[in-house]
Amino acid sequence: MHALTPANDLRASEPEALLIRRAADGDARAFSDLARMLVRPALAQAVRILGDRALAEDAVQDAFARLWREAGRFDPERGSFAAWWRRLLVNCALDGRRRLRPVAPIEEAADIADAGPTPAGAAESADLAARVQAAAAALPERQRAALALFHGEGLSMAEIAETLETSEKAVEGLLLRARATLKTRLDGLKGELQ
Amino acid sequence: MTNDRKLDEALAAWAKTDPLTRAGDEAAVLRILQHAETIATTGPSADRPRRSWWWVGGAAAVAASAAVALLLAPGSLWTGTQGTAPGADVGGGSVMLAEADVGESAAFALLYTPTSEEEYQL
Repeated sequence: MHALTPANDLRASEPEALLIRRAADGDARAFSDLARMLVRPALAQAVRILGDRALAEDAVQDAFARLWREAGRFDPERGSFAAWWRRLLVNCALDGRRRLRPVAPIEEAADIADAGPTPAGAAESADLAARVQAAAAALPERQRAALALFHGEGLSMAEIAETLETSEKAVEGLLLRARATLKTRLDGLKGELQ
Repeated sequence: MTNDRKLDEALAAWAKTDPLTRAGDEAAVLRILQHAETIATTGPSADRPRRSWWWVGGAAAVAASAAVALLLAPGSLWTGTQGTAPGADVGGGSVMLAEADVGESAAFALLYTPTSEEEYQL
């Protein structure tokens, strides 16, 4: 079995925690500042999980609405703001009502990253990302979420389990199944996407 | 066959490359921010109660319920007397009750409560 180790660990969230406290007191300006800090990474993550831009936008809007409504529930003594917000965002992305809509077709997913006039390394990376995005279109959303949290945010199994509200064993299963499917899909897509 | 190292590289590229590179992505970001601002300025924030107020309100409601229950209970601790049963009418019209052995009219009398005018005429 391939060793599953987190990629990195970035969880500095003090400014966000201060802003959410002010938002909880009804400070609309603090909430707007917080939204500006969170919006791009949130939308990027939602696009990875859902594979569809319209659904991702919808999910992030829902997440911000919940963030405003439930700002008073954030308790810094129970965990970091980053973990709390991540859980809220992923929950909104995996909302059952949203799953009723189809994900992006493979042709569209292959076009996910526009390499453009970038250095060779970045272009290669963008090409790889495009291929994985295309292959990931075949995966269930929870598997995509587990992959994005593990390889993108570098979370541990326990942190992913907490975010997805499941067990560490289940997360391991999600990642293994996703990797197995992706291996097959990437082999199959190699010729198709070139 | 894609090996594990290649797959890790591909997944890292996918998970870390910013997917928001299309023309419409900035517009989507702006729409989300506008939506967030609208929620914050018009949403139900100002009147949402803080957690401490929930505790105070809940405790007050429980205390009030307990006090009312004690006051209404037969043989209340404060009065020390036999209380009136709930629903009993102590000052209104009387109810005609039939004896157990008065025959067929008893059934009607058990069901019928005369008004004060009827009672006067009787």
